[in-house]
Parts: sequence; C-alpha cells; structure tokens
Amino acid sequence: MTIAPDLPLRDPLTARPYVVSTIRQQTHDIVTLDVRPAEAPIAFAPGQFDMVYVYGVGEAAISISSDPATPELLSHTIRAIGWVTRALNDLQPGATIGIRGPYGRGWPLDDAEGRDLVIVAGGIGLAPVRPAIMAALAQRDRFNRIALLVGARSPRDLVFRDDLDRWATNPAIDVHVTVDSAVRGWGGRVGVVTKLIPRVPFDPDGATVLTCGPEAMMWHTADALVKRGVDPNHLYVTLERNMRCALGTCGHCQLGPVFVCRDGPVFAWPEVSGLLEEREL
Amino acid sequence: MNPPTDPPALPARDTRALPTGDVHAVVARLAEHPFFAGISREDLARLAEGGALVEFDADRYALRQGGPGETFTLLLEGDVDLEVAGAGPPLVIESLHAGDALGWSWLFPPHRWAFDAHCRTQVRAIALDARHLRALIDADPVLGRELTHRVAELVADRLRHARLQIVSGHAHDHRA
Repeated sequence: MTIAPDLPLRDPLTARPYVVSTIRQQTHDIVTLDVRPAEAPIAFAPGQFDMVYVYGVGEAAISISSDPATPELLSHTIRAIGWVTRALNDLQPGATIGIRGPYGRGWPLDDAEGRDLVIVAGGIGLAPVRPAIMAALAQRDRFNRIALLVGARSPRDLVFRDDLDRWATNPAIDVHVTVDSAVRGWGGRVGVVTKLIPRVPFDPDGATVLTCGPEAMMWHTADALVKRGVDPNHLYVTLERNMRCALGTCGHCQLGPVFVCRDGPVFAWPEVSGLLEEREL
Repeated sequence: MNPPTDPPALPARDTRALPTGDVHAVVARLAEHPFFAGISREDLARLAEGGALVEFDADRYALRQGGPGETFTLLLEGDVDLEVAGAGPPLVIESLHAGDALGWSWLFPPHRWAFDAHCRTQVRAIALDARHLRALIDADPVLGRELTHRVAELVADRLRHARLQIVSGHAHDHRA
C-alpha cells in the first residue's frame, strides 16, 4: 500500500519542550491542547502521533489533531482516563510539556488520489483523522468526493463541534453526523455511525476509506463498507495500543508480527483484521 | 419547534389516511420502498390489501409504546424518532428516515409497540394491515418466509447496532 512518506526524526528519544498556548474543552472529559515549540517546529504527516510527556508524571501516546500545514501550532486531543492524561487535562496555558515525535505511519492520502475519500470517525476518533481532513481540503482537486461520517455517544460527546459546523456548510466536503442517543430536540440523526454507510453517496469501487474509533466500531464499519462493495485494500484503520518507546523496540505495542507504533498506527484493513481476531493478541 | 403535545390515551395514533385512489397507489409506493426491493408486483398487491398511504403531522406520534401492533409502517418522507418515555424529556434511541421500516412488533406476540415513534417532521408513509400480513404469512409459506426473513434482517440490524452502542460505550469508559 502507499503510505505517507516517513519524516525524519531528530533525537527520537528526547522530548522537546513545548508551551501550552490554549486549552479547548471539547467535552466534559476531553480537551485539546494547542502547544507551540520552544525550538524549531517539526513537520508531521496526518495520522502520526507524539509521545507527550508531563514532567514528573509520565508519557502518553497521543495522535496529532492539528493542521499539518501549521506545525508551529501543534494540537493533541486527550481524554482524561489515566494519570498522564488526567495531568494533561489539568494543565493551564503557559505550562511547559515535553513532546517527542512524530512517530508512525500516517494516513495514505496518496491512495485516495483521483478517488472518493470517505472518512469514518467515532467519538474522539475524529481527532486522528482531523489532520487528514484538513490536508485533503487544502488539496481538494486531488480527490473526487470527500465524505465525513461522524458518530458519538451523545451530542455532548461530539468533539470539534466548530469544525463540524464549518465543514457542514462547505460544499467541498459532505458531512454526516449521528449520535447513539439524544434527548428530544437534538434535531440530528440518532443511531450508530455504521447506519450512515449505506446512505452516503460515494462510489464504493473507487473509494478509499479512513476510519478511526473504538475497535468494535471499526469492525462494524469495515463490515458495512465491504458489504457496500468497498475493496478492503483501500480501507485503512488506526490502532491504539500501549505505546512506550514509539520506535518498535520495547515491544509493548506488539500485535503479532507488527509493532503498532512503528508499523502503524495506520494499517490497511487486511494487514490487521486477522490479527485482531486472535484472542491471544 | 412547538413543544410536543401531551400523549393521547393509548392506543390512539395521530394518523390520517390520505385519499389513495385505489390499491394500485399503495402498490406503486411499495415497489419503490427498499424494504420490498425484488418482490414481485403480484406479491406486492397481495401485501397491500387493506393498506393505505398515511400522513402524520410534525410533533405527533406514529406509534405509541404499549399500543397494538396493527400496522407495518414504511416511511416515504420525513423523520421519525424512536423514543423512550421517562421522568424527564423523552430519550431518542434511533431516528428513522425515508426508506426505513418502522417497527417489527406487529409480527411477534404480544404485538405491542416497545417504543414511541415521534414524528420530528411531517411524515408520509405506507401503512400495511398487520393482521392481514400475519394471515398471509401463515397462508403462503413462500411469501411468508420471504417477509419474515426481511423483518428478521431488520431485527438483526438493529440488534447489531444496539450491541455496537454497548461495546463502544464500554470501550469509551474503560480504554486505558
């Protein structure tokens, strides 16, 4: 498959200082930290991740959620679920954190050139695909249709609401949003994101699909897409595992023969669907 | 949107039949509905007996929880929310749109609706006579199997969706 080009790493195990410039509360337990490098900015490819270090607390692997055209303003979108991510959620503007990266293979936008680009995101899974959406819109002529399908547990769990509102009025992209449940008055669709797949106009024979969300959601999404006629070789997922070194040496994120941090986190579906079925893995 | 009206006493439905002309109008719309894709015109005519094109105003109910499953409703236009009534505002658990089928409780005893179906917009639909459909399923094993199979697909789809909602929620809460 065609993968985003590897970008050079400088001192891959050394965290560089970044200063928190703004904190955007996305939901009750998800924030987006916008940070600026104290040193020269480092380019990244959509879909890559960083190891984000809270001094004195620890590191966590976090996908980059900002525009790759502006590496001088880097964003990471973080749900507070562990020590490090809670500490990241508690930061204030002006705080300094360490970041090393970017790491991993990103989204293969080259694969979608001249084809329909379909992006399916569940919950906070919109964050890792957001840079791909921005890159695709910046190079709109490279693609046929661009469709974005977004699902969340409820309206209050939708992230990047401003982006969704803006994209919804942009004729360059076809946006569909659904939530699992809502109080009456929400006004949008209610149901799982896979329900959207048969309804959204795109050419399954000529579509490249990027999907990110809980693994169960990606399984069902893959099933629905293949049922519609999408070639699994043009279906890409991003996996989340326990990344530690981020260089493919420590083995914490090993999934059978692959290291998610080095060989992924983005994979073509046939590369990992069999591995994900193995209980031992 | 105006505030919802108070629920009427069961088993009332806020529906009215439209002047359909004849059964051919119902058959013509059935032929366009995805649920019946591939069914012969002759079988559609048998299914349509006792059916009607119906219309619901926005903010009214197409079905009421606990009400009798007397119809099989196929949406042609408009949006319907499946709702669970509770102490607070109703909780929408699924929205249905043109091309969707509304409910399967008409097929399985005790033939009572499990949820409210609240019309978010004005809705046009085909309402088939459930009693007639059940009799047809019993009388014609071939058509009965086909119709039962399609309803089962609908049930299976919604069960898969419900399970996905559960496991996605679990991942949301417990991912390390």
